Formats: sequence, structure tokens, C-alpha cells
Amino acid sequence: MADLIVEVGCEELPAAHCRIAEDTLPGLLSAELERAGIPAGSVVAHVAPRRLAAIARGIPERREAQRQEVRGPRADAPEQARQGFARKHGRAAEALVERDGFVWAVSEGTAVRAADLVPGALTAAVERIQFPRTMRWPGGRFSRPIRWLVAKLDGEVVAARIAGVPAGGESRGPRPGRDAVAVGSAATYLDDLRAHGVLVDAAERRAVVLGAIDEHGAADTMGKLEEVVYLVERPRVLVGEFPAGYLDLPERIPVTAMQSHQRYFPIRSPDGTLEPRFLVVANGGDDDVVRRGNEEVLVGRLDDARFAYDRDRKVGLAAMVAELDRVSFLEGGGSLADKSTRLGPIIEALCERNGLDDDVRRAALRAAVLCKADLVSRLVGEFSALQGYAGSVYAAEAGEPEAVCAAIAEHHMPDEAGGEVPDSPAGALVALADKGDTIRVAFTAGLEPTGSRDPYGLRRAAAGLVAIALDRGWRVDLPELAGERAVGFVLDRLEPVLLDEGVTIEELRAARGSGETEPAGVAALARDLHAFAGPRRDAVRDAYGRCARIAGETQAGDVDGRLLSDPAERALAEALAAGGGSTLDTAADLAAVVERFFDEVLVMADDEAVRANRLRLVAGVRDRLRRLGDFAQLPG
Amino acid sequence: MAATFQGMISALQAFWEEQGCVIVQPYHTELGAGTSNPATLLRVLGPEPWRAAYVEPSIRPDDGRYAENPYRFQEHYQYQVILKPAPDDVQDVYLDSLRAIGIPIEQHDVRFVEDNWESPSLGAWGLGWEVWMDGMEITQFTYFQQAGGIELDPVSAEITYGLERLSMHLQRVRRAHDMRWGGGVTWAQVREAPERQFSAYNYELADTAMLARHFDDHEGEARRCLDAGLPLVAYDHVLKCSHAFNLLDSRRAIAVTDRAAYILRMRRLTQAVAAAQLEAAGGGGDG
Repeated sequence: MADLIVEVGCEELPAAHCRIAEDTLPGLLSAELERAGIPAGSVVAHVAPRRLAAIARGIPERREAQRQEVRGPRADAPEQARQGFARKHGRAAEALVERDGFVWAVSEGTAVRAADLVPGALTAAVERIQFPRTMRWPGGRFSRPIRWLVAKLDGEVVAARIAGVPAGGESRGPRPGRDAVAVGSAATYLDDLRAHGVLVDAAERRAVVLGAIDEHGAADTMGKLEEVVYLVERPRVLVGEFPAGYLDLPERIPVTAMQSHQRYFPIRSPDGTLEPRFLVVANGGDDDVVRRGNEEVLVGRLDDARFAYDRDRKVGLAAMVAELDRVSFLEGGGSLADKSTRLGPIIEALCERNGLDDDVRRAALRAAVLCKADLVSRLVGEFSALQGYAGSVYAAEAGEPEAVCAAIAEHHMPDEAGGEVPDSPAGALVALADKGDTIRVAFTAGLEPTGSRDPYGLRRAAAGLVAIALDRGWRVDLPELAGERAVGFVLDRLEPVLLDEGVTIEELRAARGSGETEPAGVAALARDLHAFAGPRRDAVRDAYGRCARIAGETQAGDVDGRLLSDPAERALAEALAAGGGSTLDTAADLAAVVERFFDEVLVMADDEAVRANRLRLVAGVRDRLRRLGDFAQLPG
Repeated sequence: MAATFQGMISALQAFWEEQGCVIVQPYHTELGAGTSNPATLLRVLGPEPWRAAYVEPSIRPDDGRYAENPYRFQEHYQYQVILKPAPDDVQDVYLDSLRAIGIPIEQHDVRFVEDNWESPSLGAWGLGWEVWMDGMEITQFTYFQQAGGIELDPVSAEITYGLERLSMHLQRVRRAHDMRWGGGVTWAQVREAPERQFSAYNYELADTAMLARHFDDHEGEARRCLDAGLPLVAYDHVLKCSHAFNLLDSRRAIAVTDRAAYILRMRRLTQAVAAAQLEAAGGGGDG
């Protein structure tokens, strides 16, 4: 058994690409080694910005010889056929073997050393990593240019090559130096690089950063931690300071100045108040020099923020609203003023449909007028993450009621998949209307997402729409709100939410097959189907299946009571008329009646009128059950 | 050498000259960025090797702040380097250039942070990084993938230094105003008055009807030049369209519905120029 170390040395990879490689490289390499006939016992990945490394342990020394037998023509075939077969397999006709009335080309094969198989496997594995976007450089195509390659099986370099770069035994140390680092073997790899200050394993780097966060009370990592871990190879956590005067600004402004772009972590005192200090995760350099540089950068950004904030307050919210007709929303979607105007009727309809209070309606309508104003503010121009928040601050200064300010702040929520939904009903209304409008306009203009490309954030908008509808349990007319063409796209966002709750994909498909398009309605049906799993649900599924099969293309219609002669068919007609099958519980009862019906009644009666009447009855049962879900989707 | 703005520029010129670059001059009409200079945009097309470096005034009317902001101006200076094909050690060479202007980079935290670049009106995009020094963005570093709608082969490396920021950092000043330019003069003495006047013009005075007319006129002239087989001249008129557009934009005179159309008109012209120039240069066939 031998251990393999591979390190693909790159120019700085994007943080998101690092995570993709870390997640997928072990599986890819494992599969390729297995395909090559030298399966590894285990494969792990270690990833830092300039290196994708994988260690595969327990690789067999060689792929054993494999005996191969290929059957040729019949033993009594003409000599010509025999000759041809022999030539094709590269041997003399005399070397063919006769058995079972055929001739055979038999080869014993030869064993192949792992070192000769590894190069192909690792090249294939690395090339199969799926990055969302790749680039070309003179030499190849990858996430970023590949500049060196280490590939050693135990102590021996293997003759691999990726993007024209031949494998060797030397890695490189941290920037800005150009030190070569000799890699001994898989066993020494992490230590070889650690000796030069590089922590190749992300978990080690994360531990360094988390340790400092704990020590200094930096609570607001806000999702930046995982990014920062992949922006450094030798993390040094430094504490910087800034003048306390900037803490007069509304709190999220200095916090955003620290977090967005700079990826600093704000520090809070134990009582939660913001301190004029921050953590910066550096990647080397002299601590004092680096700290001072970062402090100066932050003060510059805080100056910008203050300048923007002061200018915005002078301009005022009303003047910003007046600017909105000059700002484009989406191709075919008019201006932001047009968008704001469209939100009003959507909000009215949602209120109507869900019987919401008048004060909620008023707050939402007012917020709809104001919610886009901050997009022309200087503050949002500097810090786009302050969208919504900036507007709510300026609205409060303009004397708008609290509910309106809250709705403005919340209308972007949820910011990410699984993020918090708006807290206030008015915020939820504006958020739903805004997201629905964006999706409708984009789909109308043919801007729907393709593959991994979603430049207008439509998946996030749809996920947010669904999350809010479920959270509130509101009825949402999806075809009206997001447009007919986007209904399926929006309902697709139910999948992660419901699967996470334990609902199966079949149950969700069945619920969607009901024809229901309300997100909350589909979710309720899917959850009901899930809760109802068992023999009773199976009985309904079977009853539905028989009805659907027998009824075929038949449309449901009035059943003529006078043509019902058999007690079992009368019972079924009565059960249906009494509303049987409107809920899963009564559907299970109905299933028993259906079963009796099929046992006792011959649907395909000789009398055409009787037959048609029975088919209409069966179709009626099918359609009734179908409203609960397309049971044909459930496993049998 | 980095004690002054001009000293730093001289050091960069010397460094890149040493690297075999042609030191070309700033272009003679307004550009939003050094990328638009034909020494970059038209030279990255086709197979012929090309190395050039130059200072470029970046004219962005909408970035003017009447000289009130410490580092945002309607005219700032870039140092642009274009290397075709991109050399294997281009990052290390770039780091050497920082050493050459007197930055002891071992003491600093110099990092390449993902940043991708796209210009719809140039039909151009690339992938790369912004380079941070102690948290400050000092350079844009891009592997140019497409220009004028044409896939580039070979790929060029484009390095764009933000000169004021770099110099402010070296001189340890917080406002550009206090930066020593050279000859005993500060940035403020050289640039403050023009920043004020041009900000006023860009935001308050520029004649929008005239600018809209100029856009149309230069577009027409670009087409005539293309028809006459003069793509280099046509490109100058595209650049003039682009500046007229930027001024209209800073005057908030571009209606929502027209914006995309303006950009498309510029992209179409740039694409036509790029195709014609590539053909004029031999079609990239035998290089």
C-alpha cells in the first residue's frame, strides 16, 4: 500500500472556488483511482488560496494482471475469418484458442504499477472539478492559472502533468516570497508547509481566527468568517482601532464599513455596545505596519460613510423619491418609480385576499412608495449592503411612522437562503410584492436564470417569496403575482424547505400535481401527505390509480342516479356527493367504497348509457382525489 | 524615489521599460480607463506579442467631488501595463514592481482578492483580482478574456495601478491634497482648481443637447471611417461617444429607457472596430 500527495499550485483562487474544490476533489479523485483499478482506502482534501491538495491513503502497489478472453468466429469458420480476427487482436492465427465451438483471443495481461496509473487518474480528477466560472491563460483553463504541481506516491514523484505543468516534489511557500518548499510525502506534507507558516488545512486556519474572535469578543462575523478562512494561508489576527467619534453614526453604518469589502470583524463589549476596535485577519507582514495600514483604510471608509450620510440627510427622503424615475430597474421593467407604483395594487390584492387590517395595509402602501428611495442615496452608493436600512433611517428622520420604517428596512429580507424573514406584516407585504414583481418582470423580459447564472438574483427572490408566504401562511395568487411562466420556478423553491422537514420528493411532486399554485397550499398538501404516510395513504393511492386507469380520458360529469342499479355504485355516488375525498381522512374512507365498487361492479357494462354513467362516476372520484395530490407520484 | 508622486511614476516607468515594455503616452482624448487606450484594447487582439506601459488620466465625470473627497476625483491617474501573452511569473513580476517603487512588501500584507471585470460598452471582460496592501486596493489585475466581442488568444495580463492611492500610502498622507507631487508642489496645487471647475461643469453646466448631438455625430463619423477602412480613426470617434455618454450620465440626462440603447450602440461600434482592426492587422492568420 502507498500514500499519494497531490498539490495543485495556483494563483489565488476565489474563496467560493476553494470550498467547491475542498468538497468535491476527494470524491472525484477516489472515483478516478477506482476506475484506474487502484482504489484508495481514503481520500481527504486540504485547500488554501494558492493550493488544492489531496491525500489518498492505502493505494495498492499495482493493478494486478487481468486475464482477458475475447470470443471470435466459430471454430468451423473459413480460415480467412480466423486470420482477420487474429490480426485484429494482434496475434498469430496459431495463437488463438479453440473452445466450445469458437475461437478465442486470450491474453493474460500484465500488472501495472500504481505510479503509472496515478497520473491519468489525478489529471482527470482535477479537470473534473466544476467551478462556476473558469478562465483561460496561455497554458490552460481552470479557476485561476496553475503554476506548479506536486505529485508523490510515498517518496517518489509520479510523472503527472496538468495544464502543461509537470509534477515535481517542490511546493511554494507563502507570498510575497518565492521559497521552494520540499514536500517529503503525504505523511509530511502539512508539516512541510507549516514550517513555512502556511496552514493548508482550512480547519486549522478557522481555529486560529475563531480563537481570536472568542478572545476579543468580535461577535459580528456575519457570514464573512468562511470567506476570510479562504483568503489567507498564514492567518495573523490583529486588533485595530479607530476614533470613537464614528460611533455616533447609526450602528449598522460603521459595522458595514468594517464588514463589507474589508472583511473586518467589529468588536462589541459584553453588554453588546460597539467598540471602536476591530479584528483584521492578515496574511503575513509586520504586525504594526499591517495594523496601521488597515486602520487608515477603515478611517477613510468611515469618512466616506459620514460624508455620504450627511449629504443624504441634507437631500432628504422626498428628494430621493423624486429621483427614482431616472433610475432603471430591469430591462422592460421601467424605472424604479414605475416599480414602486406597481407595488401598490399588488399589496392591495394581497391584503384583500388575506383579510389584513387596514393599518397594516396603510403602512405597507406608504413603505412601497418610499422603499426604493435609498437606492439613489450616497450611502447605499458607497455600501450596497445598507439598502433598506439606509431608507428606514432616513424615513425615521422624515417623521414616518415606525411601522413604515420597519417595513422599508425589512423589504429586502430574507437576504440569503434560510435567512430571517420580515418581522412585521407590512414588511412581509412589501417584500412579497417586490419579489413577485421582480420575478414577473424578469421572466417577461426573458431574463430567467440559466444554469448557475442568475445575475438578477431571481432564485433568491423566489426562495424569499416562498419563505414569507409559508411563514405568514398567506394566500398568494402566484400566477397573478409572479406571472404564469414563473409559477413552476417559484414553487421549485419549496423543495429545499420541505425536504429539510422530512417531506419526500415524491410527496412534494404529488402535492404540486394537485394543481394547487399557492405556495402555502402546496406546502400544506405535501406536509399532509407526509403525515398521512402508511396503509391508509396507500389505499387512497391505489384507489386513485384504479380510477385514473379505468376513466382514461373520460371527463367527470353529472352522474345520472336513475342509471345506478348496483348498491356498490350507489354507495360510491352517495359518498362522493357527500364530499368524500375532500380531506385525506375521508379519502381513506372513500378508498374502501371504491374498492368495493370495483369488486362488485363491472364498469364496462354492455349498455352504453350505463357504461358512460359509471365512467363519469369513476372520473369524478379521480378528480376529487387529485385535488389532494397526484397520488400516481407516490411510490407503490 | 517614492517620496513624490512623479518620482513614483518615474520608478514604474523605469521598471516596466526594463521588462521590455513600450512606454507609450497617455491618449489624446478622454478615456474612462487605461483599458480603453488603443494601446490596450486594440493591441490585445490577434496573436502578435505586445508589451506596453503608460500613465493614463482616467476621466470619469460622475466621480467628481469638487475636490472635497480625499480620494475621489473626476480625473485621476492610472498606470496601465499590458503584457501579451501573459507571462507565467506575471504575479511575481508585479510584486517586484512594488519593491521597485520602494514598498518593502515583506512588511506588508499584500493579497490578491478575487475581482472580475466587465465593460458592456467595450464588449470586454476578464477575470482576476484586486490587489490589496494592508486592506487598501492598490491595483486591478486581470487576465483579459474578451475585447470588442472577440475571444482573446493569447490571453493578456492587464495591470492597472491606482496611482494616487499608492502614492498617498507611500507618503503616509490621508488626503490626496497633501500628497507631494514633485518640484515642491502638492496635489492640491496641481489638481484642486481643475477638480472644482470640472465638477461644476460635469454636474451643472454641460450642454446636454449638444452632448446628445455629439454622440450621434461621432457615431456617424465612426461608421464612415469604418466604411473607409480606417478602424483606428473610427475608434477615436467611439471614445468621443463614450465621453459624451459619461457627461450625459453625470448630468442625469440619460432616460432610463435609453441607457441600454446607448451602451449597445457603443458596443456595436467597438465590435466593428475590433473586427476591422484584427483583419487589417492580418486577421491573426499567420502569426
